[in-house]
Amino acid sequence: MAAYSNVAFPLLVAMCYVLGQLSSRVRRTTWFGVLNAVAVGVLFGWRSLLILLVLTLVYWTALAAVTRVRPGPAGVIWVRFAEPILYISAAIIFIMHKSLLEPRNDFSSFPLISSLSHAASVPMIHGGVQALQLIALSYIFLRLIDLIRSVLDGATLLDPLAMSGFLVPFFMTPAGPVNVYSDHVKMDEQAVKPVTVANFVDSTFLIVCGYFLKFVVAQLFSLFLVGVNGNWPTTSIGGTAVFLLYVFLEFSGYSLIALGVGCLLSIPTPVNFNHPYLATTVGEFWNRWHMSLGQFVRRNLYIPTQVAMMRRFGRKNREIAYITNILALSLPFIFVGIWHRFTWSFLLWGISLGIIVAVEKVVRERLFIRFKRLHEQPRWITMPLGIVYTLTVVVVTLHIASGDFIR
Amino acid sequence: MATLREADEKKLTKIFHDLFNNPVLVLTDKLTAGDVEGWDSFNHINLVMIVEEEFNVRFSTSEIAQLANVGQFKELIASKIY
Repeated sequence: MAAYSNVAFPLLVAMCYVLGQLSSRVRRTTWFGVLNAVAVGVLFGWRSLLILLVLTLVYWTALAAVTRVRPGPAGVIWVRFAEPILYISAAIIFIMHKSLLEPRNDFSSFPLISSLSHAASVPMIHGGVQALQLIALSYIFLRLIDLIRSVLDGATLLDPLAMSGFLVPFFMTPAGPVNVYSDHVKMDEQAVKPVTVANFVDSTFLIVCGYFLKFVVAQLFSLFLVGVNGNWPTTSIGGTAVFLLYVFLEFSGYSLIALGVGCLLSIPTPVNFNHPYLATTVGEFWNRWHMSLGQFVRRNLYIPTQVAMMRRFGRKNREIAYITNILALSLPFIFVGIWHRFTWSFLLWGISLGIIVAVEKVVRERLFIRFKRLHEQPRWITMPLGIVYTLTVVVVTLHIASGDFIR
Repeated sequence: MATLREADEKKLTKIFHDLFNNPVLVLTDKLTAGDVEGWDSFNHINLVMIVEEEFNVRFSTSEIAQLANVGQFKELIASKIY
């Protein structure tokens, strides 16, 4: 969060806003890549920028080699060979980052993770991972996956500078939201939005609201409950509920700052929160909370898994198709658990959420819809009940992982 | 921007009627999953798979993920078959 409290941040936003209007001769993504590189260098250090550019160049070269292959049997084999390597390489960087820099790693005894941890302790790799950690390697990993899948699916391959602007947009660092590669590419098809008072006021309003939520409301809330150096209570479920509210205030605060800056600079920036506390099912809660992460797993995990399974097993046998859907629905939650932390409690948290969301779907489709047709209840009864149920389940499941989360 | 011919539009409408068990559903361009009972993540993929079979086309996961309404779906199908 240091970027938002850095005095250089508003100056860099202003620089990008003014110079962004001059990009008519250069592709917008490339011009933003140039301005963004300067901002990343100033905010997070030139070493982080250098490592980012090297990483970008490596993936750009690999993707260019894969996408420019000639059609034909040899080309198909080459793409099939290269595709998993690209994904695995991104996963290796992510695992090295988790192994080296997380305070706790419950899977360090696993042979693969142990070997990667040893490899990551080599000074040069260690330094590189540390530099990338400053610009949020967890999010770079997500964006790399989105980039690889989109380009292999036929999206335009941006030039390396433009690609670095997508991988680490300075105003979405270090905590998201997770931007979308295909949206970033579309910037080149759109003209720069003309400077208007309405756009300026709307964007500035979002930024001010974000700063207020993050630096005033969330901080006062924290000071009031745990004091200056206090620790968040994790032993009780009530403590977890309060902590969840604090996370919402802070996280939605910096998501609003990012959204406001994105609107101001005309850089596609996803909305990250949509009143999660009004959700009436657990599945809906996670569609409204950290929405850009939810949409990421939908695009890159749920849909590809479900489509692959349906193509493999067919859709004619509805029961098998339904079971594959339930499995595909649970998988993203397990991924999200592990993505947060390499600990058993986070894995358990992801599994429990996956099971709950799958059970919710079965109950809703097989029982609730039939019941609703027979006994329609007014919304003023069902909605509060749904909200109470959802918040109870969300807090209890988060309590499983809350100790690790707060650390 | 490609648009579906009348015969193909009728074919698509029939797919929707059969899948969502709703013979009076009107396929306006702005129709979204939220407007149709039963159009959830499972039936979204199911719908795409049926359209792939009926129109003899293939969609990428990016294309499936980006579909926001029926209008976009019609455009996408039209861009593949004409």
